[in-house]
Amino acid sequence: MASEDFHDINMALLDPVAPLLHKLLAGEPLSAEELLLLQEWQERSSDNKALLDRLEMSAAVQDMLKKWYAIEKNREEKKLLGMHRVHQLTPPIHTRVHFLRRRFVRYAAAGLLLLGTGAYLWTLRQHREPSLAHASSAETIAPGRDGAVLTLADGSRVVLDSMGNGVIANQQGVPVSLQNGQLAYGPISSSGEEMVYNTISTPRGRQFKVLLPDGSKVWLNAASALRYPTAFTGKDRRVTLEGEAYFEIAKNAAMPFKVAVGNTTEVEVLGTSFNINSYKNESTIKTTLLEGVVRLHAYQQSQTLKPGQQVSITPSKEKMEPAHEADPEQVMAWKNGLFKFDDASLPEVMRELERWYDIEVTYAKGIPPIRFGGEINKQNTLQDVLQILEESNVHFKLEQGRKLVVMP
Amino acid sequence: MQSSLPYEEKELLTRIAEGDATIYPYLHDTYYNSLVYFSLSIIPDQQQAEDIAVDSLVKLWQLPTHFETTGKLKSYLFTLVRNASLNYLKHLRVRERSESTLSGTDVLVDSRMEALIVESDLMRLVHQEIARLPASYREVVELLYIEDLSSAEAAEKLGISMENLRQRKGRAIKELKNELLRKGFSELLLSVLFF
Repeated sequence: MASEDFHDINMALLDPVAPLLHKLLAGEPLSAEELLLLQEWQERSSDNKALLDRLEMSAAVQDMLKKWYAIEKNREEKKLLGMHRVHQLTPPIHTRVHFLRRRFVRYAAAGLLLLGTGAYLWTLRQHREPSLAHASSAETIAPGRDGAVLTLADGSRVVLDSMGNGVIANQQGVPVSLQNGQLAYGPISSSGEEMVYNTISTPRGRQFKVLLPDGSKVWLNAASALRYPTAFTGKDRRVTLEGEAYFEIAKNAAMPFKVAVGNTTEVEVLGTSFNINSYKNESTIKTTLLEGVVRLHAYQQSQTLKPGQQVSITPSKEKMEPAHEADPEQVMAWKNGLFKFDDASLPEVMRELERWYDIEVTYAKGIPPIRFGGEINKQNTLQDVLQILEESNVHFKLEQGRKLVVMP
Repeated sequence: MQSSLPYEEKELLTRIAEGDATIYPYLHDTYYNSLVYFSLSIIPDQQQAEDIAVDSLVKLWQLPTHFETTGKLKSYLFTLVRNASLNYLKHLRVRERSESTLSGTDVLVDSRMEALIVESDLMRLVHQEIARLPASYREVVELLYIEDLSSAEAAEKLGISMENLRQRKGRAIKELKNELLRKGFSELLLSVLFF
């Protein structure tokens, strides 16, 4: 284009029109003044009149909306393109944030578990922690990874953090071994022993996979704990969960698997896979069934779930909600290495970040009423994730000692 | 993720004039869809319309300008898109050597442009209304009304029973304030039920 044929359209005159049309369509009453404004607008041109006519035909509106949705589909993708081009045009001072998006490409599946070699003691990191307080606030906060603490029956603790393979303990004749970052229990060598309990717990910023003595698999999310016997005997298999875990239970009809959550909820399992989210700082305990059958018991009620259904239990109200359909991808996102939000509030998002990045979040001036949707790879550093969130016009300040302040 | 809080008008305009890269996402979320929508009323190719919209937004960094009001900014962007779209039509016509198919559309009177701006503003509002529905209702509306799926196809895609879909449809209609959309949607449901 050689010269811009610049038209100065009077937007002050146009801007109020669409909200009035919207109000009209919603059946809301218009004031005399508003009606007059619409009347004037309509009479200003035949194009305006034609638009009003088309708005009375639902098929025409449907077509308009389809056009809008087709555009909306590519909005995010084109935003990246535009951002990239703008960053290339601006001087280096602006490009310090660079174009990080490329790294946000989601990983197809898990990939998160079973990473890393060599011994790294979580306790070491804890010792190092105080020095972080002196570090500059620009320090990069790395994502969480595999690791857990195993508490044995005698109370002794073993730190498991991507350490080497091999037998790490012996519990009343049951060898406990670590294989590729996954804890496994061997078969019982002598029967009739009394139940011996172990607890596996993950701090913030760690997740872990456990293979139970009956062959069931448990993926433990960050800031969670699972207590279980080193050998299942008797008429059922009982474990206790705090926090969040995904279970794949080995079938054994003669010995039902039962997960106790808090003091009030019990999930009875009949060979199946399901996820329980019972973080104490979330208001509800959510159990989601992926496959098979589970039965929930809480507050003298019970309920059977079908695959794809979720049940929420609200301890503060001593209430169990009826089952509803859940988005399995969203429920399982944590295990697949993603944060996945669907119309989530800022505090919901922040609580997930607290658990994964081991940070404390505070709000400088109340909680901005923003809602988020979308996926973010959990392997991003905290800063990368914050940068994505900042696109929604919320701002953050990272302070010393892993404290994150949400700015208005 | 769509920006929901507006920048203060003055701060926005200052930052555009300063060539601040960090406001691109906000500007994109505010104007991109409307600009593509507008361009598509001139040219038939969505991909091309998308490129034109991004080009126009990026132009704010190629030629930093101080706008007195956001209204002036908006009219600048729409004018850029209009000119680029008409230019594209000319190229297309030269390339295809078919004057008959496109004649008449390369002149766009101001009144037509104004009506289209209002139309795209309205679509933004209706889209927001649907987007605010709870996810399970929103999906039903989008599959049936936007993607034109049959009830059976929609139920299968959502992994829910027909009964469940029917319930969600009913609740979605109740939630939708928009008379027109509700009418269109109910008619659609009716035809689906009779089929």
